[in-house]
Amino acid sequence: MPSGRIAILGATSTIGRAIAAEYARTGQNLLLCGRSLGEVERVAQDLSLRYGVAAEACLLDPDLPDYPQVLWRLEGGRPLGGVVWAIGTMSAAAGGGGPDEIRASTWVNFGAAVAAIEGLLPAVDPKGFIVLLSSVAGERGRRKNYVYGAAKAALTTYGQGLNHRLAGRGPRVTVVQLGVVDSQMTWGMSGGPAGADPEQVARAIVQAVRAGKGRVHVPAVWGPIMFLLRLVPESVFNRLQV
Amino acid sequence: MRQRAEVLRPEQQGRLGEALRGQGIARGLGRAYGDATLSQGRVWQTTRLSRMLSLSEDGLLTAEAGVSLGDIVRTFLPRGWTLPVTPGTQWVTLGGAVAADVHGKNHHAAGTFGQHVKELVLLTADGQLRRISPEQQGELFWATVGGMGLTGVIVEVTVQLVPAETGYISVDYVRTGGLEETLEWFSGHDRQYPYTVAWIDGLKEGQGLGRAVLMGGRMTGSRELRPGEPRYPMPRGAVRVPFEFPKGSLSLPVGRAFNAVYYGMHRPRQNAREPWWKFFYPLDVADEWYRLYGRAGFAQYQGVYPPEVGLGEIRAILRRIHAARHPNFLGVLKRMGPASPGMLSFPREGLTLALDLPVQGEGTLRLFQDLYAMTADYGGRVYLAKDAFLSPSMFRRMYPGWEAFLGVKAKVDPQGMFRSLLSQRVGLGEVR
Repeated sequence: MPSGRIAILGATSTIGRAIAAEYARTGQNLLLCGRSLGEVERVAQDLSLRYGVAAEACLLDPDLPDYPQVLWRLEGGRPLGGVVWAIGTMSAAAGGGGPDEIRASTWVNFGAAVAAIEGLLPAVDPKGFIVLLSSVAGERGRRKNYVYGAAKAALTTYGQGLNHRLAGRGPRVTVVQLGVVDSQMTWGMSGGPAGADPEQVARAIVQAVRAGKGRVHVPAVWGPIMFLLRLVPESVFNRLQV
Repeated sequence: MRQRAEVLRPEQQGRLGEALRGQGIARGLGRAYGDATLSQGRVWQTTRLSRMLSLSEDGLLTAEAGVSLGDIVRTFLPRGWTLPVTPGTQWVTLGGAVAADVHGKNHHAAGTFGQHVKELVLLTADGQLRRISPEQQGELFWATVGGMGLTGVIVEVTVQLVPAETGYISVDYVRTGGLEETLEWFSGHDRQYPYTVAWIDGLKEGQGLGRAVLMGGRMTGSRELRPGEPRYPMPRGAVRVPFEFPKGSLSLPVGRAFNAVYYGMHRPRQNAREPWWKFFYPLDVADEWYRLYGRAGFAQYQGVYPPEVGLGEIRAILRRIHAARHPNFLGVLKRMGPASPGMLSFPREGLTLALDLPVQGEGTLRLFQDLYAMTADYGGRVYLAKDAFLSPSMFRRMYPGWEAFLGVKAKVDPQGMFRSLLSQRVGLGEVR
């Protein structure tokens, strides 16, 4: 494990916070970023109090013009041990939004991630890691969230390409294809399976990163589910209520 | 009891503010036994607002209201700090502990949880975050402590932790043959222990009526540990009650057998050492233990009576339950210390008796009405956090602080934004 801090981009999201806690539990120092500084500071206070690690809060807003140079400046040239991208939004999940809404959600779910990772790449320890939180929604488009899913599919493809580019000469890239997690994003959504516990999800993600996996489904059960779902022909799929 | 509501579970304080519209009630881990956290409007669930913010050198902890008491013990016991007061389950939130002004086995010595709270941050109906304490807006503070969430949403709690030399309690177990002997212990012998409780056999009739296992505990000193023994032990996972048991599983004969086994199991012993979770949270060994009661569930009667109430009255209450041929489990008896300044706080000086009763339709309801009347006649009251059936007139007899409370509520919540099924049932829903 490299010695540098681990940057969590989206540290107040349910899974971002859980991943940060999982790293803090093992004694890693953290750089926590999010769009509301006050909330990020609370997470930082919580993790340093619970686990005795150094956790610094920083403001990171994909909608602000100085994004993502903020990070590079903040790190001051010291290499990061790892970067976790945990930002995403379900607004404009399906079609029907106006151009502004679609542009904004596509940027946050895809473009902002690419900009952040490309910008931060020189700052990441070559023995470190990069984690991209993607989604099973990107594996087969369905009526409920295909705009969101399309952005996540793009993120997955970006991660694969980055992995290919860096293989053997840079940080390892892990693309996490998340199933349903009991998070802010899924709270109150009707139907579908109950969400997985964020703490267990975070543990599985950290394990996959340690094992150097390029792509992983979390929870693992979503691997076979999505494999089968991808095999279903359109003619049948279109009649499914999924 | 079932009630549909729109449940919001914000994970950021800012989002909580946005969610504060309409009418409703805050909810933590939902361990209140009755309808205290149910609402016909919204429910603001605080379990993800669970960030710990600071611990001062002298043990002053500030944390968000959604942090559970179990989380606090697990985090700070290894550093030599523990809760000043804890109820019988660790799965309550800080906010819930304040709202119900919970008490524990050390009430006679340490008072209620709220009496150790130094400051609260309260989100009120006008959207303001108010920093309140006994010194600053004291009226609002003591309306909020024990106020069942009806003054606003508790967002942050600052509580004084106490030093813990070890994570064990040294317990003396005493067994009594009947109620007289049990009450005799509580008339003075209990004073030598910081922690006391009696488990009472609520089903035994005749001579053995009110027989009990008495437990007196104190924190084990570090020098009493054997070399190599962990100073702050931690529990392994709990078993889970896998499904709701069928109706009638906890019947009268089952109750008798259970009570007899429990009584037989606890032979008198001196200085038996128990790890903290076994002494404070015996029910937490089984997650969702209440499923044992099946779908209809159970109701708990917990009353507290003035100091002059004793043998005759407690005996009358137990006999009233016997007359109804109603099964009951896990009776608990304890002598409490002086009352908390909380306007609607339950504890007051005198004996408290708690009994779990499986709900069996009308008969259970009639039994409760009788128990309420007896309690009020004795000058006592029942615990709102555990209650399910209390009426407005009975509530006002038991809680003379209601008027002062509604006076404060009228000021901070003039529109009555904060209301629960409980508040509407006992007549705290409307503001003057």
